[in-house]
Amino acid sequence: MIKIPGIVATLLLTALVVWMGCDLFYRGAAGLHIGYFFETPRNLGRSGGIGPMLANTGIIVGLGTLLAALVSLPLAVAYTELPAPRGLCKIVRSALDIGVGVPRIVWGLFGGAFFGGYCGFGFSLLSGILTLACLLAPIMTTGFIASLEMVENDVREQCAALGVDSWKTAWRQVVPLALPGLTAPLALAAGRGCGDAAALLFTAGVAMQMPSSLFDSGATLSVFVFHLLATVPGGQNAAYSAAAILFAITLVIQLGITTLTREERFAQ
Amino acid sequence: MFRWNRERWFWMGAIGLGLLPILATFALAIFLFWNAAGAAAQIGMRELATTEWLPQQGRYGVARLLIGTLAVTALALGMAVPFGLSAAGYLSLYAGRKVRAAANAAMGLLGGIPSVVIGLWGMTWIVPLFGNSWISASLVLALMITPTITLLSGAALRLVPADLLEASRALGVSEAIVARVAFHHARWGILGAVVLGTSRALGEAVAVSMVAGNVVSWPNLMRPIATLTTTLIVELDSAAGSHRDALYLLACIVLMAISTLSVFGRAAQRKAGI
Repeated sequence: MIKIPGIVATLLLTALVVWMGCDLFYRGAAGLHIGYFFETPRNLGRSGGIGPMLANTGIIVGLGTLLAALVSLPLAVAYTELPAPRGLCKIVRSALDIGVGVPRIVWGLFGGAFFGGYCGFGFSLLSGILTLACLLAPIMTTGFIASLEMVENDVREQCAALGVDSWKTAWRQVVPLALPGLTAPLALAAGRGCGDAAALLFTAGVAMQMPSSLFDSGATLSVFVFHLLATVPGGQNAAYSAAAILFAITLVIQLGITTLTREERFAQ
Repeated sequence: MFRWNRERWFWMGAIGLGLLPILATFALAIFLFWNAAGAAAQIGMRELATTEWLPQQGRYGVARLLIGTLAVTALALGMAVPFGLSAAGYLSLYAGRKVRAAANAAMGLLGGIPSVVIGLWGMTWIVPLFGNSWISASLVLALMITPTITLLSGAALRLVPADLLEASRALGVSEAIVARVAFHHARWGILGAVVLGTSRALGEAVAVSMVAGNVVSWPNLMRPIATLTTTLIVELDSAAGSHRDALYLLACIVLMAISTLSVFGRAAQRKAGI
């Protein structure tokens, strides 16, 4: 009974993804050429390249993911490896669940007011990086915890029997064993960062030139596409080209995740 | 197993770093509640409950925005749940391993596509058919949450013991009953998947704002509609003073709804063992 509708639904959804990709490349092809990846945009982004946006995306997503990983891994390891009262675990879990659910636009609102306003960074790459790190950390921690919990408990018991302390057990034995599973949340977070427009729009801003420092405003590729569509009349053709590149980036990251893991729990 | 001696300081450092993301989440919640409470006190509950959202004239009634959000989300769920669940049922109960891997990769890709790209696709293909309207917004949203629902409920269905299905088949019941047994066994995981899909739908701003038309109105299938999140993304740039406070209030409403759903959805999933 569920087989036929299921097959139809699966085929439709798969066809839709293929269609979406082909359509974007078909429409965006006119604007794509070798120089597209290096040139600066002209005419408010209607023509020219996406060089500065790629640089901004690299800086913001790279540093944001790195910062998030720096706080997420210790949190995940402490959560799985240390004994803690059950109430504390529940509070941490709830905070993480809420953090994963907080919409990007709300993170953008908070980041813009706190990092941009209170800390005085304004619309800058730095505000964007910090906001993105806040946004990605709960997602990453949840993924890390799931990977660490899959490591067999035998390892921990054997280490304890040999008198190895818990710090060494965690970082020399458990983390290396979980390493393949730990890379998937990283890739997932990087993908989320590349695709984010709502949070970065209100923190990193929409400037289209090469940044000279972390205090300059700069649009990532997603923000650029949104800006073209929302405020630049006649920007739709340029948006197709940039969106095609975004699609390609998503595709590469998704292929990476698929080869790294065969699990569905990284869906969200 | 655990000794509180010289590694104590290392662990203290790790915990100190690890507290940061949790503190950030708490800071966000406190910041929003603080500003929203101020806005609510200033605007007044009576005014908030009205249907007129006219920031230029100092009218901040959120009722129609709330109704718009609920309408868009409900219709999107109505489209995504039957679709997602039937795909999940097929993929986890009948499909071969290779088909399942390929379809799951495609779902992962669809779920990972940036909202601007989905929004652009919606502007190209859906808006010409239905205009900037409630139905366009819900279609785009359904597209974004179907992968979440499919993958998460598929994971729940895969946890159903094979013995159970074989025993059902051995009893000679029809395949429909076998599927019902599987869905019944996985009900908590499926509920979690749908709830998490709902919370994702409530928070989506970019893609919806590109196809919804963003006019505050009573829901009408073929007319423009505004939701809490689209109002935020459209008006935040130019808002100041009490308008900005009112937007904080909208964000706070979204945050409260989503937090409740996220915690509940994850709890249901954990109960199912995912």
